[in-house]
Amino acid sequence: MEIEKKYGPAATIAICKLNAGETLVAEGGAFMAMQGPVDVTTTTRQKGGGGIIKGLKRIFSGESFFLNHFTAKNISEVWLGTPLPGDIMVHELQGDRLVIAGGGFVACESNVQIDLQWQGLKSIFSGEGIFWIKASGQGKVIINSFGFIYPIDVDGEYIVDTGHIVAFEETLNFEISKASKSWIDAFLSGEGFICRFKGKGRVWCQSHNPKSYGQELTPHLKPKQK
Amino acid sequence: MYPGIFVQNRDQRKFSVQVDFDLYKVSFRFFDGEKTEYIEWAYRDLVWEMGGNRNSLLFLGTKENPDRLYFEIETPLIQEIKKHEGLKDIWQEVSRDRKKSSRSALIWATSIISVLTLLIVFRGPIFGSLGSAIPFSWEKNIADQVLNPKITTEQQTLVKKLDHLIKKLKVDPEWTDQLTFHISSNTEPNAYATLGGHVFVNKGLITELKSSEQLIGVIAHEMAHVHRRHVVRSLSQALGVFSVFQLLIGDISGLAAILIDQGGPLLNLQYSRELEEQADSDALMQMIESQIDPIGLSQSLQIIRDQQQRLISQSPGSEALNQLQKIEILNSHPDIEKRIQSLTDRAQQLKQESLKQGRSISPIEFDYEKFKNEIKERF
Amino acid sequence: MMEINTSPVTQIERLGTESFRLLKVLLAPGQKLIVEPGAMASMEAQLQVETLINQGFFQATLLKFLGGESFFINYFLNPDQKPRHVFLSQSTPGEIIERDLKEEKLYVQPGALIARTSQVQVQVVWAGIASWIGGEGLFRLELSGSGRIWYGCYGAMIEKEVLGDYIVDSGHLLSYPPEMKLSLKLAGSLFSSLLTREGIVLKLSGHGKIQLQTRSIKGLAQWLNPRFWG
Repeated sequence: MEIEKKYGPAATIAICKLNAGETLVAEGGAFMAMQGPVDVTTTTRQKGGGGIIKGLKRIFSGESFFLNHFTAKNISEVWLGTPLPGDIMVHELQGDRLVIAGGGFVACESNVQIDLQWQGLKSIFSGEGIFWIKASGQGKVIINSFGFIYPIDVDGEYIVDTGHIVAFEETLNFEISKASKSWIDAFLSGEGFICRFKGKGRVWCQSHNPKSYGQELTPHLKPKQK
Repeated sequence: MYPGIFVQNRDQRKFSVQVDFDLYKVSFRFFDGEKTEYIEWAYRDLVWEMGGNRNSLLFLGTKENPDRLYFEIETPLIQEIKKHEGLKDIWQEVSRDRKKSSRSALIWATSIISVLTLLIVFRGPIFGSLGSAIPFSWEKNIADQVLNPKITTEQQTLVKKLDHLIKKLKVDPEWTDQLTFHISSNTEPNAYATLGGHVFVNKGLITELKSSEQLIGVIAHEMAHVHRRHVVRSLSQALGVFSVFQLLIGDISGLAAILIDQGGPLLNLQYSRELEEQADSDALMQMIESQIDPIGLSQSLQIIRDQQQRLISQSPGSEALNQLQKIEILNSHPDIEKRIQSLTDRAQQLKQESLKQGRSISPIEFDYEKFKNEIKERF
Repeated sequence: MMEINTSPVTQIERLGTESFRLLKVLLAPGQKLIVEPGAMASMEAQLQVETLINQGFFQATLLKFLGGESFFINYFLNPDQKPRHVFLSQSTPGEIIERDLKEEKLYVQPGALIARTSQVQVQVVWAGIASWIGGEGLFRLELSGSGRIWYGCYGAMIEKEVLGDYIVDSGHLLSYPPEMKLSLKLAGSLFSSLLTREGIVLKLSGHGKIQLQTRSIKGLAQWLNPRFWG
């Protein structure tokens, strides 16, 4: 399957060119348009099990409950869009695993397994959801961001603000810690927490933080009129 | 054979490999696109460490070679490692580490819950006191600039009359110095205190109520809000709670939107229940100490409540409900009936005690009806 | 004792586009930068961050509740021997403006500030009632001193040289110099406008360069509100 990115980095879409027999698995809501003989099935499951429970877990990670399977009977194109204005990255997995943070997952080839990974209690603090997506297997994964994506190769330590994490290789471990020295500061500063990556591997960061944008907007939104 | 990932250090390329755990070595093959390579590492040369995401990976390598082989630490892997004497210390450490992490998770959970509870329980004092740190002169300066409408001399006379009525409440002169009363032409039966000690009494309130004691009751309640700096504190409290929740849960945009309403926040604040109860108590005490019948407060609430119910039955739509929301004195109390009842009871109690102590309640010398009519005309 | 190098930072890389601007700031050894909390996207672990109360407790409280800024401020310091980078961004999509201040004052939209060098002061000052009613807040962020500042705008930035009077919608005003006066243009009476927030625009008078942003948060909220809750 060939994947082409267009109109980046602010309004990027992914054009997936499928050959006969190939299947694209995309989250509900990503679909924009398609061309050619494509069968679409919508399930809560991925190939190899899943079901409703996994679907519910997906909601916790910021993804949608449903997955769409696009199976091409012949050469076709599926166009995918993203919920947030920003960039798209296409990563090729070679048996290794990629951890995708908060809602960034868009689609993947059918040989890639999508799993929800419990990131530990510390991720409650991250504000990015307690389940992150672990993508493993062989094939391409399409991930989107808010703003544009920049990769950082970590060898040792690197710090990323939690709202700016898009994805990272599994060889990196991370710690959620506070931006300042004292706990009081961290609670009151509104800064939130930062993520300290350790090890050797690549982390992909996004230029903007959807949470901050939402916070900026929230005070101006009217509450529900009873 | 066991699946693992081989990372070539020089270009960080990754290869999916099948690894053999022999008697005294690990071995595997990988295809780098051009040729197949065969690698062997003896157990005695092995260096290893745990790492990766959530410490769930086991990295193997040798001292000379920077390339690494890694596996996900799972039960089948541990079984495999257990089989080999040469890998015994790896297995021991890995299983010990797994036990440790579940214990620390428990400690984490308990501490988070206790901190959360403390913050929520004590949020009032914590954030409220921040608000009180703003000096009153600041408040007054701000508000004065905003809230000094132009009124006619006739209207001014009526405001003076109102001031005269209010002076029947024998409060600390310090209190009254901080207050400026205004009458607005708004027909809602409402009165509200805002920043800087400015208290607005709506025409609608004066015309709806029936006696001076009732009007005094409502005003005393508002004065209490000013005296206790509730206005400023309420604002800071709202912002404070928002921040706390936000950090810990991550998303309460709905709650935040409710707390920080843009529509004239300075003019129409929602107080918490505690602050309301405080203002009620203060008002009752002020009235009884000025020998004014404290029943006035609960009576005025009843009148306002009745008016609201009339409104609802007349125009069952969002219009009426909107109006309801804006009545500050009725807000934040889920049970208005209970409040009215409680205030009536306490008023009776206070009156009896006062009589026992030889202090009588005297009716206020003020022609309320005349005042009401004049207000109806001039505003 | 490390010598703190307070000269303007030497290397800035502007990444992205004007819709999504990201700054890569390279701090020289010993260099210090004051950064708003939340502005940091990612940074090298060698950099030290100290969070302090923003210019004293009282000012900090004002800045937080009235100025839209934060109570705490972060001091980034590079204690290392090599230059280290930090990526700075802002909460809204848009452009980031870099500006040199030379012993002058500037008023900036509250909340827009991203970073400044240590000789620039930030203060909450009384902006006048017109500003509050116009939706700009009762207080202004006043930046003063000498140094370099970075502030973000929502959308793209338009610079305008004003001679005389200029009318702007609140929410689109990004920055203006102190020589310009802000006043109100009302459609109706003061009170009716106060309660409905309609018919209010700001009038800038004087001679100076002002900056506008092409989008406004309030504008977005106004568009969203009726679409929420069905």
